[in-house]
Amino acid sequence: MTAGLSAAVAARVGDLRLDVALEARPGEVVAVVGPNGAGKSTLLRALAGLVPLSAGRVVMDDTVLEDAATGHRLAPERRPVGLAFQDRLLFPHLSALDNVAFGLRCRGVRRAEARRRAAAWLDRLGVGHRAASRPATLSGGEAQRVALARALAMEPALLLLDEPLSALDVEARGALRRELRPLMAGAGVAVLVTHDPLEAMTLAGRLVVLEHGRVVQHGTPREVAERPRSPWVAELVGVNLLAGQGRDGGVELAEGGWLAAPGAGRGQVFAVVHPRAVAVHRRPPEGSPRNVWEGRAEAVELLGDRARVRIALDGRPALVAEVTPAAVADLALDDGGQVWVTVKATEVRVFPA
Amino acid sequence: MRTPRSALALGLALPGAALVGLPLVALVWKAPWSRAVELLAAPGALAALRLSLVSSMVAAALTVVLGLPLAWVQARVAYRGRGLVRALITLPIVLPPVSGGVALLLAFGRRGLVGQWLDRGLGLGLPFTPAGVVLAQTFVALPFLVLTTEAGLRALDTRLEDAARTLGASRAEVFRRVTLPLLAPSLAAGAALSWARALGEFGATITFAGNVAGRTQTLPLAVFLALQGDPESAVVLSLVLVAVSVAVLVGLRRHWAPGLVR
Repeated sequence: MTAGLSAAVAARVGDLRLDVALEARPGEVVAVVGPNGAGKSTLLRALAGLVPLSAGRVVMDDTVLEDAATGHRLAPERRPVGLAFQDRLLFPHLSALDNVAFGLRCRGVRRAEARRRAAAWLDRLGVGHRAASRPATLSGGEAQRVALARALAMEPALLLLDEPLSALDVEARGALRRELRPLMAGAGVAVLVTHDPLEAMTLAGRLVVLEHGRVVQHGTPREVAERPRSPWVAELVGVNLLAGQGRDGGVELAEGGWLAAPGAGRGQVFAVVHPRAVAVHRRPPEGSPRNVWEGRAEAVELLGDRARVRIALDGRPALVAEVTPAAVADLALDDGGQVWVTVKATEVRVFPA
Repeated sequence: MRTPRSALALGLALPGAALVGLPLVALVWKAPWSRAVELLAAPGALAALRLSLVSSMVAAALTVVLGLPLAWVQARVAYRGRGLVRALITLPIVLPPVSGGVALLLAFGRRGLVGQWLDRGLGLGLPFTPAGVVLAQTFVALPFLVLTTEAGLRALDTRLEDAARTLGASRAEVFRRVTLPLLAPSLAAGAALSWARALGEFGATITFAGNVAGRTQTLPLAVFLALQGDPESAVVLSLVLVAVSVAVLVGLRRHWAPGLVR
């Protein structure tokens, strides 16, 4: 046995069947990402003991928290776990200070001492001045900080954060994200659930991608970004992902069509095409690009000095192209008109599935 | 804005308002104000008032003790027949109180199902005693406490209780530190409603506990009796009951009609 988290979690909640293995070394921050309904929050609730395991085993720092095989199950209040809920769930009848002191009081810390330590945590999260306020009077950002302080004040060996920044506006999100890193480093193991790629990439050393209750991919942020293994991950990191069979010099796409790509291997492969490598034309292009497809511009999204255009292709998976805002106007892309796209074969990356 | 349409609506609404309002106006109008203090201070009236206040408060406290666990089970435990039990709990609200009193006699009377054992085994006779008054009042008031508290429990976000558990609170601590404080407004409203119902209780009380002056004669019973001999006394005693009821409704308007309070 080793220190850190070692969890095999199988649980059923409604239609969701969760079956996830999760390991983390002491001091490690793991981000769990995935689409809505993938089971991210349920995973955290299972680790906290709020959802019983149907199979599997959770061990934290050599302590068995739950073992479905033996029926051993530590009650939630006896686990070294702190959970910051997505909806914050601050106690409405208690002040911010008493919310944070709640856990310490339950653990038997005397009132004055619990309040002193709670005040210190509120200060650390920059909301010391709201100590006497009821949750209903706090702003979203303040409530989120109080909720984090409440979980952190328990100094849990396993810190579970469920979408800690999701309810905040862009500015507050950036500020809290920068503060979160050192706070999580103080915990033994931190598991962060998020749907925000930036949050996952900047805060976690390792990503676990969950879809339909199962892990579809895990690795460092760089590994996941470079070799996405599902369309959802590809969209998360902002690239086109095409699955297919590798043949000589290209890929027979699973959804139809041929993608020329030199050096494509054989067997099941994924092809990654960065949106920058997709060029958009209003007329059939001249010259000899090998990947030329006809389609319709579907949706245009402006991202500062760039624009992303989703293009539906006939008999092929849709592609996202990145162009300049000027090109959107010049090519009249936002009227859903007919376009041709070209992909340079040399800019297609292919790796085994 | 006064439009012909709203004038018509007002006209149609008036009889309803008059039906409820006129008797109250008459009560205040015809009250023998000059004799009010004298009538209230009469020994029989004072004893009835005292018994009413004490018995209704004990009954309200009993509804909390008996009703809270019942409301908890109804709100939190899914079991077969829960709907049937809810209907039974609600029954005393719609049951003619005099029938309730008969049923109480059959259960707790000296020859009743349970009463005979209480009487013979423990020497505990409930009918025609102040304890019987409390029992009858508790019987009719309990539904108000249970239904209000059950609604409060259902509205309570159970995830707050989950949050408390992850913060190290045992089930008992969760109940004491989270559930109960959040439930307090519903519980208080339910207790006040059941107290008001107990205070006005007549039918079940007179059937089960009788009308013994100074022993089981509550204020409503005294009003009924006074009506035969000294109608002015009945009016004054009725005004006392009206005043208490109005005070409870005004004090709790946020709970019984939250949508109507601005």
